Amino acid sequence: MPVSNGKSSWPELANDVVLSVRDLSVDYQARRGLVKAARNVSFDLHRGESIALVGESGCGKTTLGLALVRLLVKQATIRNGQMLYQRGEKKMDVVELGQEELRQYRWAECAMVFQGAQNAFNPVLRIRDQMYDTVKAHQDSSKEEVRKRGMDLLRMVQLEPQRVIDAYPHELSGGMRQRVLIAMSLLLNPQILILDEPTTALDVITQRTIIEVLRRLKEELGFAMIFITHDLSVAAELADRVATMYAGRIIELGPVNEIFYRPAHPYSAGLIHAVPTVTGAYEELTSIEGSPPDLIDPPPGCKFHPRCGFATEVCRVDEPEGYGVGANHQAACHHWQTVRATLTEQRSQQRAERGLA
Amino acid sequence: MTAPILELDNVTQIFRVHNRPMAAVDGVSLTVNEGETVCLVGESGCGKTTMGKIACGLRQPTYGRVLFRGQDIWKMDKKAWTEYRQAVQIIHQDPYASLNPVQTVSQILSAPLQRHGLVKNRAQMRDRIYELLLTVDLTPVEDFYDKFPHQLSGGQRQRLSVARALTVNPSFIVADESVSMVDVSIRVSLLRMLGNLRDRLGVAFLFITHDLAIAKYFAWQGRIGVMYVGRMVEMGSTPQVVNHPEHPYTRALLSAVPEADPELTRHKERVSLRSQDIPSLFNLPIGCAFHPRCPLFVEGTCDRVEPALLPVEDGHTVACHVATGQVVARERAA
Amino acid sequence: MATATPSLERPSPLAPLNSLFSGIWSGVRLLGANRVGLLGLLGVTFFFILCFVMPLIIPLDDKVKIDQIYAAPSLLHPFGFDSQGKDVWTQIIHGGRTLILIAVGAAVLATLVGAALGAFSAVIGGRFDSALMALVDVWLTIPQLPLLIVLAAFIRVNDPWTLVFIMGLLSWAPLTRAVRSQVLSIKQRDFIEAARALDLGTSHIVFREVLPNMMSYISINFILAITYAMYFQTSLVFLGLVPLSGTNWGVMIRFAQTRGAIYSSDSFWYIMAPVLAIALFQLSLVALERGVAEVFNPRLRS
Repeated sequence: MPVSNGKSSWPELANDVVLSVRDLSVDYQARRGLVKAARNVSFDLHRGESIALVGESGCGKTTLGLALVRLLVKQATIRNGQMLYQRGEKKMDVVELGQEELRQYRWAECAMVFQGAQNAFNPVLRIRDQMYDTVKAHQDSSKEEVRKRGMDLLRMVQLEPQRVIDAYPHELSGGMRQRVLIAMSLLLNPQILILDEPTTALDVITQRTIIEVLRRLKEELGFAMIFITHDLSVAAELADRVATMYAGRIIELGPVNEIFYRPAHPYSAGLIHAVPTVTGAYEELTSIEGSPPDLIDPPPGCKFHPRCGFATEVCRVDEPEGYGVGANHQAACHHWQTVRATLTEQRSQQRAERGLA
Repeated sequence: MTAPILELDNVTQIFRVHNRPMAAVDGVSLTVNEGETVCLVGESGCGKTTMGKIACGLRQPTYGRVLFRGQDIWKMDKKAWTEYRQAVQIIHQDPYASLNPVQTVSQILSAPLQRHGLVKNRAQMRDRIYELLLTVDLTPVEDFYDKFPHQLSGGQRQRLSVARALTVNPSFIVADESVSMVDVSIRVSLLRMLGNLRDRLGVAFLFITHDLAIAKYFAWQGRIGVMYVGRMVEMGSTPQVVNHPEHPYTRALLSAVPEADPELTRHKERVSLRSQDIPSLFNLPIGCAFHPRCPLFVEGTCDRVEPALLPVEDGHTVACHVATGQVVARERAA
Repeated sequence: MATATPSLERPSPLAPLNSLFSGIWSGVRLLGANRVGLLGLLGVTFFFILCFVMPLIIPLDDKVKIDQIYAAPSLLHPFGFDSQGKDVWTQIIHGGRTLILIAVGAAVLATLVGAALGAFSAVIGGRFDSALMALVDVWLTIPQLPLLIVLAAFIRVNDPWTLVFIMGLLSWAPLTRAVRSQVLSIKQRDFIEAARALDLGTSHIVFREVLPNMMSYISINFILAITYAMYFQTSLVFLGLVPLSGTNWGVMIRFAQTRGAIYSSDSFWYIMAPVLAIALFQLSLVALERGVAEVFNPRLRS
């Protein structure tokens, strides 16, 4: 599809849409060939909602996250698509932004907290200086203003502002640094916050604190959130909607309860059935046989068909588009009706057995 | 009555970091019976990995004894040591660090077979390797035989690690976070494979994990021990610990775990702690190490006396003054 | 469990030989894929042929010919003639062998001593390690060339082996330190722990697990050690601290200098030829070293 040029072709967007990703594709140039890391990804992010991007390593979720703030490595290109961002009168296609506009867009409109970034602080700068540098790169602010805003945010992420703002990074634990990062990302009051594996590699109790902090911040500040995770339980905790990615595509997108209790794609269902829960009696789990496809030379048709128990001839030939399978719920599966009927039944039965339903 | 396959008797491991002593494990006892699965869970720095290293003889504890089928491993003669060495194996967490990058699959598997004279000739070697790869589902075997580790996926590498451990026909395997670095869809099949080894070959497991849900799934028939800053705080059969935890720390952990079930996880009752800070191992609180964070804290007891592991029901022991009824928690402020 | 295993195709008796050849071949292929490494390999091969094969074919011109003093280069005599009317090209051909042999010998010695001491230091640890590392630190602060000069003045260097010995022993320190830190880091890796748990024995751990992971490192250091030894050696010869017997590139530079070649433009090729030979040889080695790292990386090999 042709890439639009400029704002002349701005389409109608619902008022509460803050970011509309349309038909976005990203390729990587690798030694062996072209890696199709994201293929025709489309979704709308609404004001104040949280979307979880879930999937396994190599499914393209991190690529997609980086593409949303245009921080892809130089071997990667956005092949086609649009990322339409709007905030009041401000409207822009992020794909078209130049370097200077991008710098303003990042942090001020859309901030990102990278995976493992809690270990990547500058060790010789106090938190207040790191905050000041961040703000100063984007707008004129006095040290006092930044300090005040920083203290407010630190309080919101449940840290002691007095102690933390003058601390050096090594004086804080990993969980505390992660919270500082979240506070820092919100300094410029962005409308969107992207988090890549925000709770990975943190201990259970620290994880819980981060989850609570994010939930509260989102309510108080009203930003929209996209978080990337391989951990379905974090998605179950925090997401309003869940997008499952497989082989570079969003293969299912729907409200969190729909995805977890009435999945329409066998891969989403497979992931959910593969994760044990702590509460309740023992449950048998099912694994997804086989391994993820090669993104350089993916199988024809539906990319999941070699691992899928429901696959038929049509799946081997024709890659399914997203079918509307319910209110706000799409799934890219030819057999979604059968899948849903079979798996929903199975799922509710299992929950009943464990005394949860 | 047969002796347990492995017994850690009151072991303590002291590390010196910048010349300051620190007890990574402090007076912990643990018994694993033949064919049994015992899980150790806890957060980072709780000493569970050190326990694993002590159990498989890679680390000599500063104090305490390690008994293999009743014999102290650090006082063994060469013959008994060799027997112990082959009977107890370890599977590491990181499938990228645990395999030598310059060796092929067949080289990795043939070294122990050759060293311990487990095969007589090349043909036997090939057959044995074939069988091992089959056991860990690396099929078709021909495709894997001459591959280097970097040509395998994370899950396949972990299977290879298991196959390498199996070369010496172990009867006890320490699995240290062995599935935490592989993808969700592959994790279950790995766990199932390990479960098969246990059920079909009678291998006993010390399964170390930070993930309570995985512990529950893998060790449902076995036992779980919960560790906190180098001490065992609760030990019992898996259903006891997971469904009826007694120690306030175990309760806090279980209530904090997010679960892959939105309704369940959003309406779980949370145990709130008095503090978020994990104490430093260099400077542990006096008395119960958990008391500064504990919601059941009783002044005068918990901050003075270190609680012992005492039974609360059959096979279920807890190190908590309140849970074991030594003192009664006062009404907490709302 | 006794599952029947379908028998695999038996390997042919030539299999180990085949795998050796295919290993070498894939090494060369990888070196070839790296342009710098390929140039280095070509350069080193060229110098090998020049210094070890050509002397067998082309005799040394050591006749003094008054009429040809500083005669200009021609097709048959590409570098012209020296201050005694001898052909410079044949001197270049015959003047590299001893130099290279001594350099390689010194590098072998330095690498062996350095690798062994470094590995022991890392494996044994404790006081031995601290003492050795203290010694290395002191050693590294001593300027090498002046020490060599002083030593050469005291010890009568009358055969190549003494030179090999002195130079080899002088350059053990940096490699010892480097190997030690490598072994220490590899020792921490999980696969070493797995090998210990499998009771594979110390020699297996050192020779099969640790060393193969250090081959690229050691060979890089080996090549670099050759280049150092070349520099030291030519410096010593040039300064006249080792006996000036035979034809060699260092001696050629010294003669060219002492016999006033640097004051005459006619003698340009006489002095530049040995300088070029040394510089190009060193350059080839450095280029080869760049390519070698990839040869030992299994990720790139298969």
